[in-house]
Amino acid sequence: MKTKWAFTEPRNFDDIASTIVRSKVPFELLTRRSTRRPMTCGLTLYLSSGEATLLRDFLVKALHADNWQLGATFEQLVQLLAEYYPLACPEHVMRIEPATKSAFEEGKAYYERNKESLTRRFEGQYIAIWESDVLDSDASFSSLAQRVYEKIGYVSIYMPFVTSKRRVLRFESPERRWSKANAP
Amino acid sequence: MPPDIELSYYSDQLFDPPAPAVMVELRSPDYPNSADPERLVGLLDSGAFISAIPETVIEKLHLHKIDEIEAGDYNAEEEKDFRTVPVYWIHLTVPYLEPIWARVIPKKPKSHATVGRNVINDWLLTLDGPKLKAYLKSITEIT
Repeated sequence: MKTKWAFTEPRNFDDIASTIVRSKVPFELLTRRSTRRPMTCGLTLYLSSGEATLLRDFLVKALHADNWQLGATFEQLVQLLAEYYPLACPEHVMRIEPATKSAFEEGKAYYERNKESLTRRFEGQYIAIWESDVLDSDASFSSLAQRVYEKIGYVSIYMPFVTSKRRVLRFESPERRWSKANAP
Repeated sequence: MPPDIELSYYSDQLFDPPAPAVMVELRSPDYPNSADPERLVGLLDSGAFISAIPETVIEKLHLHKIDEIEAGDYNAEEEKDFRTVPVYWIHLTVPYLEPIWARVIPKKPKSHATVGRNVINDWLLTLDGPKLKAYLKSITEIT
């Protein structure tokens, strides 16, 4: 049995760490790069409780560093894991490599593959694609986003507007150069 | 809420000629109750198909991308005039109105946000140009 976690905010972190300590199941760590460069990193560890404590210590340290998600930048975290775990428990590092696609990219690819059928079903609506399926849909983006948030939290997810027409989207309003002389 | 409460106004400090605007509070959806939102003047722009916020705010709030669209400015006509821009989801509040979840794209100018038709079209908006007054109410007001 494999346990898969996606860390999205610090408050999940203590729960995850506690579960790790109690758990003897394979553990997969997914971290998310900054929103500007979404990417995930997969790490699968098979842990005894003692080894899980080591990992928990590592995660708690990461939590208290200066970062909104995990206490480290994506690069720092991957580097730490790559250096720390193979040294501490080399036989338990099953995989440490960048995942091929983020949830956003996977959702977008799913949409492109199934555009015809999705358009038939959801024309004129926003849809949320999560784990290669349509999680929810609504003509109101605000209503859809609210429900998606309640289901899976604030994550990078693909939520396009479904239409068979080619959308021409414009900012029609020209703006003149903003002058400091006009500043309040 | 009575219809004559002025939640919107004409700004002559950021816009010349004066333009209808509203104060917006922007929060990460992770912290919808944050007491310290990003507060910006939002230009009410019916010429904008979507709302836009400074890219510095997108970075500060660590917003997540949810879509990519082809967009052009007022002068766009040919294929080359359009470019792919990311779309983010954000928690947007106009004080006294119901908060909404909105799609926004990044913009470079930091001076103000642009409130486009994806948000405006949920409002009842009245503009009184000669008096430089603007009034808005949502169809889902906080009571």
